[in-house]
Amino acid sequence: MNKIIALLAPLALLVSACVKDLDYDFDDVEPHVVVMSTVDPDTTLSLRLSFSRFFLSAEPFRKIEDATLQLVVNGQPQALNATQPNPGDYRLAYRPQYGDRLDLTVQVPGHEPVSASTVVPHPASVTGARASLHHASGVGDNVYAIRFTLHDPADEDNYYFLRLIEELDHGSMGHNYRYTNFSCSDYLLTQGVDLGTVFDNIDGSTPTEHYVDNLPFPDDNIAGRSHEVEIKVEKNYNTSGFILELVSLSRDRYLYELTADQYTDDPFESLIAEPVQVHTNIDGGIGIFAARTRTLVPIPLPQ
Amino acid sequence: MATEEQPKNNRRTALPCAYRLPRLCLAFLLLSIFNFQFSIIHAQTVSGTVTDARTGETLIGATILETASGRGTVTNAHGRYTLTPGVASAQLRISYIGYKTQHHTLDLASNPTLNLRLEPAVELDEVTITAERVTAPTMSQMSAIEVPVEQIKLVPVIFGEADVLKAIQLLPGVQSGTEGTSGIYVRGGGPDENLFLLDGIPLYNVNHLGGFFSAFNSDAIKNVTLYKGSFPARFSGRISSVLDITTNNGNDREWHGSASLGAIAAKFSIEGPIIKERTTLSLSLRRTYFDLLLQPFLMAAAANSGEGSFNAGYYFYDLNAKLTHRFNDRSRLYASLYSGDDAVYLRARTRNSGYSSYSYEEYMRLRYGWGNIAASVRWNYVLSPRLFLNVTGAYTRYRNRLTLGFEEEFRTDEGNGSGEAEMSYNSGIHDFILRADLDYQPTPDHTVKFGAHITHHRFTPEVAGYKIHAQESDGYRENIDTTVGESRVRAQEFTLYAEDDWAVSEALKVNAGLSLSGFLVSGKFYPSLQPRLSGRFMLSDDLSLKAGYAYMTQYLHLLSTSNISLPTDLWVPVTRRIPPMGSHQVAAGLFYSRWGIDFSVEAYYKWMHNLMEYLPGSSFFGSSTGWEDKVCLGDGRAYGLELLAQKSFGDITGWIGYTLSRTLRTFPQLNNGREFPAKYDRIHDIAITLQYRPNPRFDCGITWVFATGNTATLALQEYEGEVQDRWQPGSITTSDYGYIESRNNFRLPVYHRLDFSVNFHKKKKHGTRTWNISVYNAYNHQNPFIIYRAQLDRYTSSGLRSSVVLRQLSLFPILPSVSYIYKF
Repeated sequence: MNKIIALLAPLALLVSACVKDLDYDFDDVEPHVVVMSTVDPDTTLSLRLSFSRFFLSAEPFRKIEDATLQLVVNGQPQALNATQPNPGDYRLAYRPQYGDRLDLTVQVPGHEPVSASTVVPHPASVTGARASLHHASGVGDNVYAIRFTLHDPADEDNYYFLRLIEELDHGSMGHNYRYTNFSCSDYLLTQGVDLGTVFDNIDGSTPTEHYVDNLPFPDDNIAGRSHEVEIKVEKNYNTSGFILELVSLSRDRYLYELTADQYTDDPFESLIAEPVQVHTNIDGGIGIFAARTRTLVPIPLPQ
Repeated sequence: MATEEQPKNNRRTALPCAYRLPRLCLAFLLLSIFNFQFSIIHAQTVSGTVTDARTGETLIGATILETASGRGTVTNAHGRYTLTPGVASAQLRISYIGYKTQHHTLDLASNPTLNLRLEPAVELDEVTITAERVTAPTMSQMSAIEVPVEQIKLVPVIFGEADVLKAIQLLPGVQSGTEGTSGIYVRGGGPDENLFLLDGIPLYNVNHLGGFFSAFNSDAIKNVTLYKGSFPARFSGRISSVLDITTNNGNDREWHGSASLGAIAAKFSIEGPIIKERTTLSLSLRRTYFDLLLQPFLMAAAANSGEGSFNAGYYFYDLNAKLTHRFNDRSRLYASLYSGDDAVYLRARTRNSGYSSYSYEEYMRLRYGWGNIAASVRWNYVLSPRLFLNVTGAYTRYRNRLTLGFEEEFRTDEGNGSGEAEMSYNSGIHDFILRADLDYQPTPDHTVKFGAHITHHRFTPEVAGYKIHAQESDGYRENIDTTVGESRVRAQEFTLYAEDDWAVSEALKVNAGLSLSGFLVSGKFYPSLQPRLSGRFMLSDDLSLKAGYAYMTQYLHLLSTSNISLPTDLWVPVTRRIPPMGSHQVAAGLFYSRWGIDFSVEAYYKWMHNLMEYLPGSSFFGSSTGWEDKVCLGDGRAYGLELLAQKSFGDITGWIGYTLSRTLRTFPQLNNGREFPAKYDRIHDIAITLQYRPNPRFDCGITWVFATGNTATLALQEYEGEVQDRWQPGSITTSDYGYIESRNNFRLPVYHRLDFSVNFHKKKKHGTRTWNISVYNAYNHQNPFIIYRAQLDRYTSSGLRSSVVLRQLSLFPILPSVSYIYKF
């Protein structure tokens, strides 16, 4: 062993000599105004404003407490009555409605104004949601087959996020929930970067080995049509019901969720994977101001 | 009239000039054929083969000049020449760098054959050959550089291992990849856009050890020519460069060989006649031996632990073999084989018998191998003094294969059991090639090359296999044997080409050609018509102006991450969804020769389309999604200016090259659709490499390179973002993200390095021994490999203090090495 150490020590010295800290001139990197806002219909509009920080800084993010906001809804300026319950967290009196177009401008002293727009999507249309119990070999004794039909509006680009929530009854211990990604042939799957095949996989028409993250997806494969989806979920002894969660997303929200999920700052992953620019729709700044509309559909168990 | 002309003018302005050039090319080709029809005369021809008088090795690029008419030619890749000088009695001057010039006078009435054996000049006390050699201004081809193999061997390199690709990287217009690797990036192209031809057969993987060494053993090589643009029509299939490598035929008089022991590899070469002056064999073998040296230490460590055995290592080898048979002066047969593999292996056996009621033995094995095989049979036949035929049948294969296996046996009081599991991953490409190439010189002013090739490709993009065989102690058995992934994809590629090297006048020479290719895959057919045009105009005896245009199409892609080159990179074909890549390139330059030095200035502009990149966040890891779903297509453009001063003979040889260039990419799905610099967009690139050989006992070489740093994508700012909570429906969760304003927005520190090597030769009783001492990165400059953000934690009297720094990892510090070579 000593011989090995003797051999490896010079090698380790060489490698350690190959690491050095760089001293770069980054004077031209100025902080940006960051706007983060998830716009939900019929919910008080809230914004979180902060400054970005230099990537070699270990300081906490600075909140923006002195911003001036302007909101125009469907071409009409709104009276904001903004409050700030916490530093940098702004609450506006306005409650967005389906189909509203929102134009936001944020003015921070000493900085150029930043702006963003979004349109509140209409709720996704789901019909015929039901559950049935089937015997299936290989994936447990029995499975629930959850079926529903998703109607995608024609002549527009739509983006969705789907999730099946399984309600578990623990008797005297109460209820809790299990979140199940869509399942086909006992593989979990949903939307990743594979934009072209998600629906083929979901309805089971194409057996697949995919196992990707739980992410939103575009309507590429179902544009303008009604599409029946079947999901198989292994039966638990304490399953008491299902809830189908369907979220319609604006395009900016979809791109932001997708890229934010792909982003990594892990040095090893960064070496082997392509870099990801997290989507922003803030003109002159960073962040996201984009809407989503959630629809929850309870699905009772078969009698 | 005005109303009719207006739309035409608009259209002409909108199109890039590259898209108008194909028509010009076609016009030149038609003009050439027209001229050719009227100039066929019954002129007499002299033809033959030029060889080394000492070894019988054919000489490529030797000049045969008829002094009275001023007409000349050079030998082709098989050492053949055909000259129709248009005179009845010819006064021939035959010259080649490093050889004594010969003069012959002969009557051409009978279309004679003149086979020439040139004496090496070194043994004849340095004959001055400056006047007779082919200088850069006189050659009609532009954007092509021939590097003498002896010069390549003197270029100092890492661990003293002479390397063709490392030498090529020093030429202007050629960028290296990351530190130490042998990937080449030519005029803004990617590493998969280079056609590596070994004796005319494409080789897919040209790297060993993750790219730190090339697959070409310099001991087996006779000639190396790099084409960066103005590609002759006989080359097709890649859009950025062609590296044409010819291997040694072997000495046809006597047996010779060499053996060498270097810092990481041992080499052995032998060549000689099986039948004197008729059948020769050339054989070269190289293998690294680091794994063999490691074995005793691993065995000792395992023995000390007393719980089993452990064995691991890495090696690569390559084998070049070539058998040449000369039936007669008109007919030769060549059989070539290249085989090269890299392998990482690990075997571990663990035993436990410490309990009387239970014991087990486990065996784990891992093997990851990748490599090429290229085998070919070629037949040369002189159909007539003016018509030369070369027929080739070849097979080339690249594959990488990962196998991970576990075996287990256990014994308990209840019974015995065993299990075996194996996971494998395969990827590869197999090509079956058939081609016929003909050289025809119908008149003194025309040299025509034409031919056809057809390739049957068989791709195995990604196949994973799983096997499980288990038997429990209660007798229960389980057997699984399944394969998943892409199935085999078959495709056919064909090419028809014709080119004419036309001496329009003494000053003007034009090479016009056309390549028609097609690719059939999954029922989809992609045709491509690729015009080529280049010309040379002599402004004076030693100054010429050259210009060229080439359109190239490529039907294969290499799926590779932008950061590092790995054996897991996949060769994939075009598909119904992925169309072929293409490039238009225009180039122009001035060429001048004085004091035995060739000077050149070349400018180029290249448009590329259907380039392929992984989508953001994608890599070969983490998902078995089909590769087509992980990639996106885009365009690229590159432009630059290249300066070169090259001296190929004399005591001091070498070259100084400088490149000023930009390489840019535009992908709709990357960088928000905005143009961004490519990773290897190096604005300035300088390489100086000089060799000094004052006497036969000593020579030395020095290389200095300086280049603008590579680009990298770096998030210079961070912010607090929020996303939908994956596990709490309706909730929002916060997370920190980096803000990347633009892809490849950061420039790494400049790269520079000095290497040198010295060789001490001494004649021994049976041969010559050489000691080689090389130093890589002599002044120990830490060149960047990757940069990353690192957090530093320090404990002070006031508690833990953290700071963040930008850190650079370099791969190679100063690396001295010693090699011993014995030639017999």
